Amino acid sequence: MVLKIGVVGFGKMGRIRKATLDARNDARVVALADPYADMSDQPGMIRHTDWEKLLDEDIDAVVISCTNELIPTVAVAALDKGLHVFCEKPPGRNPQDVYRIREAARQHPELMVKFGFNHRYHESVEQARRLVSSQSLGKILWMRGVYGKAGGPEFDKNWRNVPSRSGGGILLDQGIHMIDLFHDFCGTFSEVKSFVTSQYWNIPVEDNAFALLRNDQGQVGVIHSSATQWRHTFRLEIFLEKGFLTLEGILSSTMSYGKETLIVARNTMDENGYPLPNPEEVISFFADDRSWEKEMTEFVTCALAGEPVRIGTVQQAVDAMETVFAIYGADNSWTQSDESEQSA
Amino acid sequence: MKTSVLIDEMRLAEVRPDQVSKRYEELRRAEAAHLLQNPSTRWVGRASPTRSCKPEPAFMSDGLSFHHCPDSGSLFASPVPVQDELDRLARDGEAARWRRDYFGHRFSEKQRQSIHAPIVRWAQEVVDEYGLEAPRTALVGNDETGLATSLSAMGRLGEMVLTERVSGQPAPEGTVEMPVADLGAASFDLVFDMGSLERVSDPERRFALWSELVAPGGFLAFTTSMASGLEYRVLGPKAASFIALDRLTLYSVPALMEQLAVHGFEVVEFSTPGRLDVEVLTQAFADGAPADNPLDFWTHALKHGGEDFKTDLQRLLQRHRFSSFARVLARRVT
Repeated sequence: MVLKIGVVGFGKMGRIRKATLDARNDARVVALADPYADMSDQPGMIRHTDWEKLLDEDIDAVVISCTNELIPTVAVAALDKGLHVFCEKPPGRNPQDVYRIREAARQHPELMVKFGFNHRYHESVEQARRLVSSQSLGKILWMRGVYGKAGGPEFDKNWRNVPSRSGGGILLDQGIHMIDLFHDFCGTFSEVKSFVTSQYWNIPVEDNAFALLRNDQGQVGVIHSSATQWRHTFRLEIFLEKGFLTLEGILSSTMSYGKETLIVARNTMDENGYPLPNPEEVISFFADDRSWEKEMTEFVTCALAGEPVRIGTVQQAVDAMETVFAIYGADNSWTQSDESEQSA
Repeated sequence: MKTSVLIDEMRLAEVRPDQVSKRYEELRRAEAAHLLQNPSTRWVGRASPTRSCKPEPAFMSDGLSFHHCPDSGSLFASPVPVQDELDRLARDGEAARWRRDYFGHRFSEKQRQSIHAPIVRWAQEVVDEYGLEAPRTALVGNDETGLATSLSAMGRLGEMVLTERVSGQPAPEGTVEMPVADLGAASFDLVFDMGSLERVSDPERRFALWSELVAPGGFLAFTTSMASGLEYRVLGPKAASFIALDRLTLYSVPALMEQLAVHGFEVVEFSTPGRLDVEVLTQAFADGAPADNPLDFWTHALKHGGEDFKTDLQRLLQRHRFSSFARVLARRVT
């Protein structure tokens, strides 16, 4: 069987999703919807400017690659039409948006809902997960994650920084990937302390977020999400009882985050059983970014087989969104400039 | 695909003591000459080691004609002695006997550990990282250094079967030696094959054997010499590793990937442990090969570059997979 798919939103992400699906023989994109994008280079596709019309086409699933404010409305409507749903991250503008999707998903347990937390599929992350799961390095003590970029041309004018459309700034847009990885390795957090700032960019949402997180097992995560990280940076350090892992760089189309590497260090002990400093580090490089492909493989194969997804679940999306907003809420001095628009 | 930088895993002096390799090389060269002069030797011509190769003549070495694949960079000899001839030498040849005697009686435990420790560590990593529970394991090919003993001692592998051996150290207690024909298809979770691909007369058959042995989702771990590496590219047939009859096929990285894919494998790791490239080249220049030309960049750089340069160069070669030696981990996907 071939899964017939419609793509809502045909910007950068919509095109990546379509190209990924075009390479498969068990799925076929048949319809596109976008009110603004030029789709003239997509002959043979059913093309709409109105996403609601796309949902009426003969399709089995929808990929939602539109802006955040539309995500819950499109997702709920698609589920009500009996369609499987794949959504980009973030899963809306706020927890209420993702709760709406969760409620619709509960009413349609036969349908698949998956969110685009593709970082879990990067090879360095998969390898790190295998190492942590093997417990050969013991339990995780703490993690430190930095994910940042330099904004970019007309960053301050981007829809991602308009609260009514995005719901938040750099933490919600990019930092949510790091939060999702924290959850992947340590589960969710019960205590949050934070500083959320907007110092450089003239935008109503945050351009930096610093947070300390602790879970019920006492494991601590430190995250810095930044839009003033002039050198693009992805770095996740995981320190365990018997060594550490450092994930640095993440493969992307522009390679601007550097080569994807994983450093593995295993502690050695002195004669009294105390760990010696600076253990030998093994650096591994990863050449291929197959995260988009693996992500779509899980979506398509689970939709066809009627099996639940393991990555990008509704619960993982709820958890990530709740942690983002817990970080916003933990800094009493932080308020978005036009906060009222968030619930619009 | 993962590529690890494993700079401190292996040193030339440990894995290839000078007096050992020189004596072995002499004996091997004599055997190659004998095969060439003996009219009863059976030879087999080879078109190319990969489907995408259009071979061109490259050079002669020890009487064998070598060809190269301009697109991929692989090197291979053709014609080559049939496998039976090579097996006979591995069983009864002077070089093999000398080598068995060396590894069996004169090899110190420290030397053995130097060679085996990186492989045992690697095996442990694979078991840990892929959550293998006592994997049923096969060790393919001759085992002159007694690797099976070290792998068994690790205590993390399940039943271990030794196969496709014509020589080597006795099978250690707890392992089983079986001919390939008696093994069930796709019955192993983990298959090791150390340094045999470049030595067999029909590497295509070796790929097919791996494919038969490894269960779907299981792993193949092997080491081989690579044509795209520094040693062969700088020194060509004068490379010290270019030992007669021991280098019949040298794949480039893309050619090796292609062959593995054809046989249902996906490469998950491609790495090179140690500093062998730089140390081999340094040693070669110290020995006056190829010309010890002071105006040659490599001669100059390795003589005057200092230890930091050598370490950085080795690291660079490993990062970009331009090393002459490789360890490969591949998962059976089809």
